[in-house]
Amino acid sequence: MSDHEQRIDRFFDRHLLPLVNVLEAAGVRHFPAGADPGVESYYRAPDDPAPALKTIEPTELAADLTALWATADPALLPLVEPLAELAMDLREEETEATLSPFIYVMF
Amino acid sequence: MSGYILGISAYYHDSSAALVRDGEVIAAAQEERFTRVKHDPRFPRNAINYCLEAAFIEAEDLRAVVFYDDTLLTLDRVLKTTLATAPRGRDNWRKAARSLLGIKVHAARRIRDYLQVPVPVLFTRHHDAHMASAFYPSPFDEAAILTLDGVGEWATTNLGHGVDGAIRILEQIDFPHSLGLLYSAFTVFCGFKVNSGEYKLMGLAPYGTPRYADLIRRELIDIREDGSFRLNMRHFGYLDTLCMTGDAFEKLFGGPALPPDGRITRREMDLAASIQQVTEEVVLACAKHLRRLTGSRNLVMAGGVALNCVANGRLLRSGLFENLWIQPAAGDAGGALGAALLAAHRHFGLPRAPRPSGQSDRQRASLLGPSFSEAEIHAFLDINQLPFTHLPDPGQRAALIADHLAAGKVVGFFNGPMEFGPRALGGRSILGDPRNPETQTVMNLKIKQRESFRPFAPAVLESACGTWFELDRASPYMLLVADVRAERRLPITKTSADTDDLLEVVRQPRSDIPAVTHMDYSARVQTVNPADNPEFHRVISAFEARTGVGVVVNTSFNVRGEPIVCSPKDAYRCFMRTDMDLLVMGSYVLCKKGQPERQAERARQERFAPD
Repeated sequence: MSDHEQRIDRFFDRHLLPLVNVLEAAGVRHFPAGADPGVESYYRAPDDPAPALKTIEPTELAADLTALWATADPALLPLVEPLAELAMDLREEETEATLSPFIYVMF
Repeated sequence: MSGYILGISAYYHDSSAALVRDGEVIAAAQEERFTRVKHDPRFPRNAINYCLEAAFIEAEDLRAVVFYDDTLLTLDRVLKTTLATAPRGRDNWRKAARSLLGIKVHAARRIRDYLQVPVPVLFTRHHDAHMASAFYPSPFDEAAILTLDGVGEWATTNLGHGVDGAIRILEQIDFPHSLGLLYSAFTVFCGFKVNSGEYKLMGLAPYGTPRYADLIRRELIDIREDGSFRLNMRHFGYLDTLCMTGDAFEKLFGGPALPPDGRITRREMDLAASIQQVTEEVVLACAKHLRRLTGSRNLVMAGGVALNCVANGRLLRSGLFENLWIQPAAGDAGGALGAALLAAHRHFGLPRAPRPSGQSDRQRASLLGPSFSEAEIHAFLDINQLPFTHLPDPGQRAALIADHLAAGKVVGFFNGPMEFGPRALGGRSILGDPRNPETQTVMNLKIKQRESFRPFAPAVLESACGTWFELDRASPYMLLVADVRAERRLPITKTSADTDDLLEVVRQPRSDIPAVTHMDYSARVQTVNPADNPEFHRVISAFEARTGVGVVVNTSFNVRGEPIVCSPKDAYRCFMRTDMDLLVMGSYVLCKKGQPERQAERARQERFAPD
C-alpha cells in the first residue's frame, strides 16, 4: 500500500468512521435510497437557479468547506481541517490514463 | 472588454479543451485524439495547445480559464456517500480521495502552472456547463433545456430555460438517482464497457423484446408522471463498491452479468430492449413536463443520455417540441465548451455571438478540431516516401472516391478539421457503399476488426433526406434516428426470435440501403449540406450521380479500441492496419496497393484492444 493510500485509509478510520455513529444517532440522512410514495414529484428546486461560477483554491479549501457546511451540515465541520491537510498531503501531478471499464467515473 | 476564454474538462472521462472569443466558438478538441488513449481523462495539455494555436494566441491573451466542475460540491457528495455507506465503501473512498483531494482540488494551480500565467481560473457546476453547451451554440434565442447524464456534483438531471444570454435552472434530480447510471449499469451487465458501450446497448435493443421493462419499473426505478424518478439503491453497487450492480440486480435478472466480449444471448437482447424502452419513457415524460414549465417550442439537450439518438428520434416524433437541437459533444467533452460559453455570457456579460453566415447553428458543424494544410500532408507523405496521386481538382477527387465506393471499395476520408464529439461527420470518416448487402460485414471485419450487430450510419444529402428516410428536417450531427422509408424496406424473414445466432439476422438485407438499415428499419441519420462540409457533400453528390443513391456509409476513422484519428500519421497508420482500399487526405490519394512493405509489416504487428 502506498503512502498516499495509507493516509487516505487513516482518514477513513480516524475521521469518517467515528462520524458515522454521530450522524446515525442524530438521524441525519444525506439522500433517499428509494421510492417515496408520499411525494408527487422527485424533482427539487435548485439551490441557486442561476448557474454560478466561483474560484476554488487549495489554500482556501478549509474556508470554503466551512462556508459550505456551517449552516446546512454543521456535523461535518470536524472534517474540515483534516480534509484540508489531506489535500495538501495528497497533491499529485496526474491521474491514470485509462478508465475502469466496469464503473462510471463519478469523482 | 472582449477576450478569449478557455474551457477545460478533465479528470472524469473524455478530457477536452475549448476556446471561445467574445462568445463565439473558435476551437475544441478531445485529449484522446492527441494521446491516442480512448476517453483519456488526464489534464488536456495537447487539446489546450491546439486551441491556443488555432487562434494564434498565447496563454497571456486568455481572459479566464473555466473548469467544468465544482470540486467542492463533488467532494461534498463523495463524503456524504461514504458516510452513508461506511464501513463499506473504503475502496470507493480511496479512489475518490486521490482524484478529488490529490488532483481536482489543485486544478487551478495545475492550470496556471501549465500555462505559466496568473490567469483567473473559474469553476462551474457540471450540469451548468452541460446546459450552457446545449443552449448557447444552438440556433435558438429561447429554448427549454434538458440535461441528463451519469452524475456531476450532485445533479444528474437538470430542467432549465434559456433566454438570450441567460440560463435559469428550474428543477433537478440528484445523485444517486440517475438515468445515466441506470443505463450504464445495464451496459456493464450486458458485457459492454461503461462510457463507450452504451451505444452498443442501444443498438442491441431492436433485436430484443422488452419483457423486463415492467420488472425494471417495479423494482429498479419509480417514475412519476412528470418524468421525475428515483432508483431503488438496493439493487445497485456504485454507492459503496467499484461495481455498478450488485447481487440483488443479478438475482432480479436471472444470473450474473455477461463477461466482457461474452456471447450475447436472448437475455441481453431483451434487457437492452427493456432498458431502452424505460429510458425513452423517462426522457419523454421529462420533456413533456419541461414543455409545461417553459411553454417553449424549442428544446435543447446535452449530457451523456442525449447521445441516445433512438430516444432523441422518438422525442422528435412525439411533437412535444417543434424544434430540437442536441449538443454533438453531449458527453463530458462538451462540458469544456459549455464552461467557456457560460463564463462568457454569465460571468463577463457578453452577448451571444450571431449565427455564422450560412450555418444553421453556432457550433460550426462541430468541425472544431485540428486541420492539416496541403503542405503539411504533402510533407508527411514526402518524408515517409509514400506513393500517392495528387488530385487538386475537387470534382475529379469526388468522382474518384465515388467510383471506388460504387465498386464496393472502402475509403478512408481525411478532410479538413477534425470533429468535436464522439461521431465522425465527414472530417475523419471511413466511407462505404450502403447498397451492398456485404458492406456491413466487410467493413466490420476488414476495417473495424470485429463483427457487429449494429449497422453503420448513413450520411445523406440534406436535400435527398426525405427520399430515403422518414425525417423532415436536417440531422447534421447524427443524433437522430429515423426510419427508412416504407417503400424502400424489404421483408425480414428471420428475426432474433428464430435463431440464437445474431449474425444470421444481421446479414439479412432490410432495405435497398441494407448497410445502414437496422433490424427495426431505423437508421442513425446524418444529413450533409454544402455549407457545412462542401468536400463531403461533393463526394456524396458524385456517388449519387454514379448510382442514383445520395447516401454513403459513414463510420468513424479508427479501429476498435482506438480514438478517431487526428493527424495524417494516425490516418495512414489506421489505413495500413486495416483492409481499407483507398485513403484520401486533402487532395492526396493513396492506394493500398503499392504502399511500402515495411509499413504493411509494421501495421500487421500491431494488436487491437477491445472497444
